[in-house]
Amino acid sequence: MNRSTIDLWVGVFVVAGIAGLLFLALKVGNLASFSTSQMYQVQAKFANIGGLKARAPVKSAGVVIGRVADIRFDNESYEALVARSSPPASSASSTSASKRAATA
Amino acid sequence: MRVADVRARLERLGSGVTFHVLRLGFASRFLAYLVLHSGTALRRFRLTTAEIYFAGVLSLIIILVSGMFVGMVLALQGYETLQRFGASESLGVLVALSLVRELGPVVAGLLFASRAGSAITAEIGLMKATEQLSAMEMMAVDPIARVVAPRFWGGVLSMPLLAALFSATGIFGGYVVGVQLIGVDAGAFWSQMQAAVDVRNDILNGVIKSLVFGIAVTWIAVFEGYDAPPTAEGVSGATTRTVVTSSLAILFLDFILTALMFTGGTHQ
Repeated sequence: MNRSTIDLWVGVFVVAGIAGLLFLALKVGNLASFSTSQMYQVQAKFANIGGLKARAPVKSAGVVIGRVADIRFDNESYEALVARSSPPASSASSTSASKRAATA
Repeated sequence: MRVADVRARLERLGSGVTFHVLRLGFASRFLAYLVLHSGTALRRFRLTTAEIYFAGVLSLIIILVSGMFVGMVLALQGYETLQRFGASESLGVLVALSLVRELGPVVAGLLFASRAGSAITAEIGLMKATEQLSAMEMMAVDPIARVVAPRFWGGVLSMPLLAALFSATGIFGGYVVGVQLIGVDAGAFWSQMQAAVDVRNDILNGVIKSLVFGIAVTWIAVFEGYDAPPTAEGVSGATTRTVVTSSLAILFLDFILTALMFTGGTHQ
């Protein structure tokens, strides 16, 4: 087969492969929802976190405003320490945000 | 008599083990030599481009069609099970995570081993049997740099792209069956998928898996071809060994990588 034909098909293949990767990252994964704005961390203590997991969405009025960054056990108060990052615009939701909002 | 019998068996066992360890050592030395002498393949990139065409572009049909059908079957089977628990909205999550984490890299790797790996082994083995490799050495052309390295890099570069295309068409197939045919809500299908699939934990790990499988399959393929006995029987045996060994290597490596990537940590 002609050299340039091979090059053309390999080019098509590479473009299609990268398009597949982009499709996976943007449409299947949640890369597009990553916020580039400055985030700040809020810590909350719970007696029982129920089924809360790291990376769970934190919602205020049903809108995703951040994600649970880390869940640790507090050795002094024997409570679960949940750190979550939220964009500054959502400062309305304070540490009093309930666990229900976090798991919703 | 019996002692001699046991001794003969032990000797056979020992020589078998020594043979395989020796072969593994030679294969490792071969890989190191190959990587160190791939300057030609990367500088004259057209050599590698031609191999990407043979290993990657010509494997596209089988990869795309298989991916489509695997995704469609996953959607049918997944819906059947999920609707018993009233969770049919999570069909997208099931299809996407199964494909991106496991089925994409593994099935694409197995198909790649049988479609492209066997062809690479047969080609190099036949070149050796017809003394083309020796003729190159006579002309002071290093056959590993000129023949083997472009095929190796062509396979290694093709495999992650093929696995990504397999997963993407599989998810599209799952969408066609799940949303268009069965009638799962399209919004729930995509949004639950996006909420559950993580770019670094799931997609990047899937790409790493496919890259590792690509290296393993192509390494086995070029080595078996280069090491094949220069007879018709030898080449056919080497081709069979390529498919068997690389399929087993893919499944074994997949277990190791899954154990490293997806257990423990934050992702339970």
